[in-house]
Amino acid sequence: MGTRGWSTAIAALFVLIAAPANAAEAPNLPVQSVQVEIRIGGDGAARVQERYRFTRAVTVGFRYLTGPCSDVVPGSISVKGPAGPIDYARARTGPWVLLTPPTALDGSPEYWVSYNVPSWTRTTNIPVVLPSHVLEAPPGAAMSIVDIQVIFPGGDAGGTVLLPQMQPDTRAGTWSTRMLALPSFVRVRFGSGSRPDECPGPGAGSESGGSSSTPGSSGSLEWSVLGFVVSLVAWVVFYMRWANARQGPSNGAHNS
Amino acid sequence: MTSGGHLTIFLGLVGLYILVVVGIGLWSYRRTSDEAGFLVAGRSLGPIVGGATLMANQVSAGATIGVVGFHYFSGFSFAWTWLLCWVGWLVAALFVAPKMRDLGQVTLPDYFAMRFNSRSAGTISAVLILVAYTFLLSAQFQAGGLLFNLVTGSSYLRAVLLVAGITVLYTALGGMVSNAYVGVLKAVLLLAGYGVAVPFLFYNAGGLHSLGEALHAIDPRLTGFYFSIRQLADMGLILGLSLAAAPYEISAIYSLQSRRATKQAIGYSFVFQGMIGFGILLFGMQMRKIVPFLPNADLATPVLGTNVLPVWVGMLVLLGVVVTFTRTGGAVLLTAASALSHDIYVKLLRPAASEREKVIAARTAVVLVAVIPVVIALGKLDLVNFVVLFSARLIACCFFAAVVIGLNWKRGTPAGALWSMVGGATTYLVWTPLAHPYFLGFDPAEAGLVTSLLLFVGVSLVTKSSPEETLRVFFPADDRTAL
Repeated sequence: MGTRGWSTAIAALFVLIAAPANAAEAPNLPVQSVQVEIRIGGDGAARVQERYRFTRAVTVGFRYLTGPCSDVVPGSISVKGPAGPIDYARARTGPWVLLTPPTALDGSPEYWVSYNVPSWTRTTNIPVVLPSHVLEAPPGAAMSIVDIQVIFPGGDAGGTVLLPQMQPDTRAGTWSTRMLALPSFVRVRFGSGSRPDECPGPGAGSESGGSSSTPGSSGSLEWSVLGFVVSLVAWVVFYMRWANARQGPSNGAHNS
Repeated sequence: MTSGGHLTIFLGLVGLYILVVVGIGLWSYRRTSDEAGFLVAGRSLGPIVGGATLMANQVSAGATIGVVGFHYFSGFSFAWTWLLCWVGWLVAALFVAPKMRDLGQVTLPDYFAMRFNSRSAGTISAVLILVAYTFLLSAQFQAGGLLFNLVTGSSYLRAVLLVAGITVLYTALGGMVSNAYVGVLKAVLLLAGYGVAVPFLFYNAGGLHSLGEALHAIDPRLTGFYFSIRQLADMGLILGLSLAAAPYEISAIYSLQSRRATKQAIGYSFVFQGMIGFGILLFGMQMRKIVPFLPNADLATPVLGTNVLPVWVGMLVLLGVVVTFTRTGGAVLLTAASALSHDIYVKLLRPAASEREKVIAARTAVVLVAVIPVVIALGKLDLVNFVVLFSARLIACCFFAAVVIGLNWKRGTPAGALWSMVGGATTYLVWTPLAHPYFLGFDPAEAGLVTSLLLFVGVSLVTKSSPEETLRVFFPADDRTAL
């Protein structure tokens, strides 16, 4: 069973155990197909081209996730419809960069998105510019509507994709997969070339001149998780002390 | 490796799992020569195996898929329901489990019949268990059957029969002993899969700080409180209180070696639950960062297993989902079968049955009881999660008051127990279609529980107690815990 079968299996499993929750607050968009091609140049920088085909004219907002040594060259982002380039406004919220369409936009059944991503480290996250919406496949069609392809330069035979999981294509240096939805990044490891293993620091990795660190609050998630773990451990420790303590004389016929 | 490799590995792992559980069933067969051996493992389970059994009963596909989905759409705060659920287990450890274990009985209806000196109470509770658990079992078969159907390509009929067949086979062979050791296998598989998957996610998707920044920017509630305290209590506390009186957990408690082992087993269950809960929390939140716009939150686990994690790790995580279907199904099936064989057939029709006859009746009941859930599963009654939650909450409204208060309050009477069971269940059934999600300010389970508590206390105060010799068994003269 190939990727299509897995996608159908996943889709039916969620129908089976579906919760009513929907991750996005923006309206769902009916999509026919999404194609993402990540072509990595000899210098390690990536050129990403995306194509979205919707079943009707829609207005789409986009976003992408930045991180240390993981950013999009801002001036390189181009969003086009059938009528030509669309001027998106750019705003940042935490590590996410939001691309908002102009209010006068009528909507389009097709979008082409392209951008450049520099490479700084041997293992790098390539941001994926993705719609800020859930993409829905047409009724009756396969749910897996996202095709992603990563192409390493000819000289980098050892290049691999770490996340999402991809399969090597028949063409050397090419990896591909199909998914139900777009990932926020593709993580690759270069097999050749001299690059540092670790990102130099939170401010590095951006050609925009600004910091590509991830400003904004983490919502104290680290403390919440720590508090949770400490609570669990404390509970178990105190409970087991009580459970292991020697008891008094038995009250029941089968006590021991 | 091509995506077809996913299927090969998955089928290989499932095949290996089937061989192992059948082997456990055959090994257990020899240790189940009498009814106590079959239904309660001869009261031989130690604290660690007992803890794995209690955890395996509780952690179903609702956790490995449903709770991951909850964390995907709501973030961190749902994690607190584990501790709220543990409050219910604490009630069990303090007020229920040790006394239940000491009774040396076999089923929860045994307790009702003994405590309230009432064959009717025992029979009514057995019928309620049979009905509620028939639907609960159908949900497990339906979920597992559809997964196999879609993953392997076989027909849905054959897939349901395969899942039911695995569950029936190891349960009919080894009863509670099989269930206990398959529960250990479940704990090992879940912890192994999560133990590799969590570090992989941290290394490749980032640590807690970057995760928090990504989620907080999407919605601050994801790193704070998405649910109110009351909503968390409704979800966690009521589930925990229902476990204190859940028939399949009571059967597991009867199976433990001693009062001390009972308390320790609950503690080990906390350890297993805590580790699994931590993994589930991180899976859900990391998936929201990695694939932020899934069509439905419950897709988080399947997409994690097939698209995010390395092949072997991903398939191990999905195998864990399969194991939860069949293992929880086994516990539910054994408890429902014991209601039929022990509480109805032996007690009402064949009280003079030999131990061999009782074991044959129990094994036969395992097969018979599985038939109706298979038929229901083939008809696809409703969404699995709805059926599971509905059945669990119904059980809580039926039994919580009569079990927890009955064990600790001398004044509880047979009439009080009967009224509380019937009143609690009726209130829950009537309230459910009216509540969106509350009616008159109450959730259906809250209303059912309050009704059953009030009826138990109110009716008991105006009706006759159980005979003194019965009460002496439950409330010895030197028992300081009795009210």
